[in-house]
Amino acid sequence: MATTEPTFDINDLWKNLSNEQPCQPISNETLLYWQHRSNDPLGKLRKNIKINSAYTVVFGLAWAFLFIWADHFWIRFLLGIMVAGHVAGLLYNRWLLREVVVTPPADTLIRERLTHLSHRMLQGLRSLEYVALFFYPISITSGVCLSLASENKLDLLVTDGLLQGILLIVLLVLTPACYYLTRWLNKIAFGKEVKRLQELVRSFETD
Amino acid sequence: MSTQAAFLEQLNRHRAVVYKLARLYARDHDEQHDLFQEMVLQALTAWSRFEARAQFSTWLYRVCLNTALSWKRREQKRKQAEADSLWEIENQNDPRHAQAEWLLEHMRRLDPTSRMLLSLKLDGYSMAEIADITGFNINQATVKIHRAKNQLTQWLQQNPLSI
Repeated sequence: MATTEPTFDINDLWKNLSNEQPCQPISNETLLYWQHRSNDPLGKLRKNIKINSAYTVVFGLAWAFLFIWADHFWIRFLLGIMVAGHVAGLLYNRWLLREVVVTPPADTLIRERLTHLSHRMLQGLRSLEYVALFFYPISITSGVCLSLASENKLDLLVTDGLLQGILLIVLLVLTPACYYLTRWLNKIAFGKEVKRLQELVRSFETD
Repeated sequence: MSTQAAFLEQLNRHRAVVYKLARLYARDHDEQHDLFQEMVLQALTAWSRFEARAQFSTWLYRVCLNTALSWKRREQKRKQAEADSLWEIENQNDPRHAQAEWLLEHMRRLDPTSRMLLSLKLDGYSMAEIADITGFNINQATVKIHRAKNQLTQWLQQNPLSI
């Protein structure tokens, strides 16, 4: 692209800019005040995982209470799986917070840091979505079992073909629906950020 | 001298760089203030990794660029403008301040990575240093800087400096 020489010097203008700075030096007190307001790109995802963990504790305790209260073997069996699943979910969230959703230090190579952030963000989101996929079918089945047990009709689940068919259809419809709902919610909450990071990473790969 | 005091001493000597890069990546006053803070905090977090044999200004430059590129704007505006006295600018009435603003306004129209490369080049870093800071290879960086300069020149010619 042919361009004529500008009538000014970008270097000089940039030098002027380099001479400007805030009047007051940053004090220790100011630094302490700022430390409470730090905001890094994975912060929101970390916060969501912590909220998710809190819900996991609450629901885990509820399932545990039902486990103690229930008197049918199969209900206890399913609730036991739910409680174990929630404990596993909690441990998994802890692992995500400690190993995956960790912001790398800001003095690393820029390209590497952006790639890391983008990759870890996607990995964190996908993990949450796949964990959710495991929970939905068990939750639905447990819910049906509990309602049948409250009416002393749990045997119907083994003998009634129609009921089995309805449960199967509900599982086939609700499991993917809930999974895609989770993906959609993640997209709303983090989609823009993930896209922006991916675009930045891509800009390192093109000339 | 405590670690934090040593950090502050170095930082205050180079705070113009942080300020300049915050202005390059954030548009309005509040955002610039937020980004400036984030850059300082990220530098403080990474300070323990700083090796004395490295040049502080180059290290700080990398921290600031990393922070600027991954920085996510706050969804809520600050309720109060704290520490605003800190943010008053020296020589704000100097005509060169308006020229500098004018340059920033045009540079902000470049894509974030071109902006990053051009600022490093304008601050006198060699192509090898730029490659070392950013992760671009030298050819990629050279091409991008050349394009960015051409683009900037074109914009500046379309809207000549009338200050």
